[in-house]
Amino acid sequence: MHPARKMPRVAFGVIAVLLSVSFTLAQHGFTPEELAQGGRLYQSNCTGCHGSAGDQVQGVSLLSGKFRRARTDDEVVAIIRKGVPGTAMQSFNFTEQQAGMIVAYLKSFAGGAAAAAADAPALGDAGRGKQVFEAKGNCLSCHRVGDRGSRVGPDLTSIGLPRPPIYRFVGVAEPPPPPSPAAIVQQLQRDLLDPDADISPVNKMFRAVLKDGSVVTGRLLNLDQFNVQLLDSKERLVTLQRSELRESGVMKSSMPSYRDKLTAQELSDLLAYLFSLKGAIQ
Amino acid sequence: MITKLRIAILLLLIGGAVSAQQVPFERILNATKEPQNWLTYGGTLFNQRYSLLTQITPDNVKNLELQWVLQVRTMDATTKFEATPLVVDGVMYTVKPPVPSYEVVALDAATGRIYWTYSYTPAESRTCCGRNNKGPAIQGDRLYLATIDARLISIDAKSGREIFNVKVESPNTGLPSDYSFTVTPLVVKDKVIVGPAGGEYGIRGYVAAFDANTGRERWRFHVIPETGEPGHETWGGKSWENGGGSIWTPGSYDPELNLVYWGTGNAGPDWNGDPRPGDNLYTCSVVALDADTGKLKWHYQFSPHDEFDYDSTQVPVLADIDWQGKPRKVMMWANRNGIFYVLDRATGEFLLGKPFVKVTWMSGFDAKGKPIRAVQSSTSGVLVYPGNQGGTNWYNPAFNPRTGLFYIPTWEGTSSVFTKTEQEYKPGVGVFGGGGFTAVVGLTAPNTYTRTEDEGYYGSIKAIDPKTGDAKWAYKMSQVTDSGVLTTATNLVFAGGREGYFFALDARDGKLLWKSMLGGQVANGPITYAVNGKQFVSVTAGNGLFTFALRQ
Repeated sequence: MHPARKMPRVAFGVIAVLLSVSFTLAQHGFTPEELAQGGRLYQSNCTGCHGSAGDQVQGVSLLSGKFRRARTDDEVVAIIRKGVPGTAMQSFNFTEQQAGMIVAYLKSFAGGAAAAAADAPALGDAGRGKQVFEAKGNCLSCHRVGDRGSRVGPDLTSIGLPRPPIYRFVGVAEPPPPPSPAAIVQQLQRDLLDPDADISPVNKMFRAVLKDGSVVTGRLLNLDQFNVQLLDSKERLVTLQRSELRESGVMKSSMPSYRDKLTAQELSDLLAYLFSLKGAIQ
Repeated sequence: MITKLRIAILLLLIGGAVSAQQVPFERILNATKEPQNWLTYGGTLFNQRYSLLTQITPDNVKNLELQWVLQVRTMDATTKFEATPLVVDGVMYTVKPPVPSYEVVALDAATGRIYWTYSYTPAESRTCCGRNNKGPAIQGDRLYLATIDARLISIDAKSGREIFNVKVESPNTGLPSDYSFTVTPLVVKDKVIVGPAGGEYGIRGYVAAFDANTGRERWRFHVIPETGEPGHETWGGKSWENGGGSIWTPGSYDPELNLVYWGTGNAGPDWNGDPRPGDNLYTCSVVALDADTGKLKWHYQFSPHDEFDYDSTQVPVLADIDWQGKPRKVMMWANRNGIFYVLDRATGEFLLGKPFVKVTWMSGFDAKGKPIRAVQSSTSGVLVYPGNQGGTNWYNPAFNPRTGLFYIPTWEGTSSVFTKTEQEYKPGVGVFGGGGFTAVVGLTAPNTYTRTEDEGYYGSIKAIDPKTGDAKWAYKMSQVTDSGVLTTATNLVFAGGREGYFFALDARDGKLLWKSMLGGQVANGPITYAVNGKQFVSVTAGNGLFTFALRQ
């Protein structure tokens, strides 16, 4: 018999136990090592369906700190250990402590001050950051959040989540834990201050000069030995034959550094806003 | 005399149906005499993938157009359509990978219409890298298929009826079996020869020959020698029991020497050599075996004590060439470890070894041709060229006796950071002993996106002069390639890549002559054949087998 089928008879007791255990867990909190261990457990057991950024299942964004079927940490722990009947979410044979570490890891990405570790830049106010983003920063002229803004630059709807790794790990040596919230904040800060430092392969800007001298720039979608495909600066999908180009290549980011364009407070607010962007949750 | 010859020709024209044996072994031995057919994985038992057909030339290849497509069921994330088809007297045989069932099909090679389908659903089995199959073999009236649940199946080539389906005995590592066959069998005389994949699951590899009539085992060569056998001393402790040495590409056969040649896979655990001190014979090697007894005649080990996953599972390419002024029976080998080799195939003597891509794992050869290892795996990670997937891999190269050039699908400039960890062998659990960070990984989902031109690595088709090991030319792609190479007597080279293009090059200078976008990654070796005087070229890409011929 499937273990889940037995649940109704003992559900009360189990939930009571879970509540007390998680209450205890919440009391003592988690050490950085336990958080990292939660990250590893998440990486080995959950990313197959949820993805390393927790956003691969439609309508679910595990790192947003909001869960569709749970309001408290112990409810999330219960879901991990019991599964969700009628869905692909199976039950996992974790102890409360292990499931608690996973939940703590997931929740460490949400929220502002709570997430920022000692070595991370200070996060300001996300609400004020949104103002900076849309007004003084003029970020929507290139970027998109949800259904607002331009498609030419990288879509920032989920920019507060861990980014997919450029290098893939093959084998069974223990992979490093997934990026911590502090690392994400640091990366966002670097993106704002030094936009060319770390550009994902999917966000390269490309410049092509046609034989008649006209210039086409845009985000690089696909490049092979014969063709280059772009979303150009007017948001048109364009295919160019490379044999027809006078010159071409990946260009520097057209994004300015915001180091001197914004005050320290504005930068810190903007960081808080960007870090809060973790995709849609329905 | 003339009358007899006429009758013989007439009988041939009427077709193989008259004879009881459609493809007796003599036909396979003399496959170069019937270039309209494609009788083995590499065209002949020498595996040169060289065709004497002359209708398609550098001048008219631009007029190639699609004739028909064979679709297979949608792949899973890691399975590729790797099968090389066979063509016999106008009938093509190939196999769709087992997602979830094998489907061996016989189809009209001119139209793509299917005569019959044989289906087999394998038992649960473990494969590291996809439910792949390199294709069937043929002899007599029978096809032979080796399966991922360690079975050898014989099928009537006319009707698609199963003749036998036997379990190949392997050491018991629990269920499901960690021994899985992905290889095209090699038929030699009355025997069908195969070996198991599973180097990542602690197998002890072997090459085994089976009676072509009954499926009964006739001989077995263990890639890792038993206690007391020569070579056993190259394994510390009990590491030999689960030391890998898998087989996953077909072997070759020299009828004059009566030797079969097989390339062997990596030692296990892959990335940590500490539990298996020694050279680990005969992993990462080529072994020359007596075709009748399976006795080892000679071996050459390409990567002793491998720690970088450099399987020597490439197809041995045999040729009789001029070597320093004298004719010599040689074997040419572009290895996953990034080095191109020429060996004497009668004796195993090392004649030449030269990197064809960037290589940092070794710094040269000693007097006997043993590589001098330059880097060791470490717990903190070590950067090594070529990377985990190698400078090339299982996809076949080609040799053109007319140009004298050897054509390699290469991965140029790829590297991995290898890290070793301690890991004990447990049945049914992958034993990698570490891992590697790598920018370019094995083929997975069949998409053709690439944005990598400025990342420092790329794929190429590279023409090597075997007399010097030097590159004559290289055709550069934007992405790496998992495609094999075909070459013809009209100085053509056919290949493809991950970008989804299938193309023809001039075999003399590498100039692009024709291309077609197939919308999926090319992951097998192209073949060519003719039906009623019309020459065809076939290749798989993504979920389809695409067949081209000249516009009429």
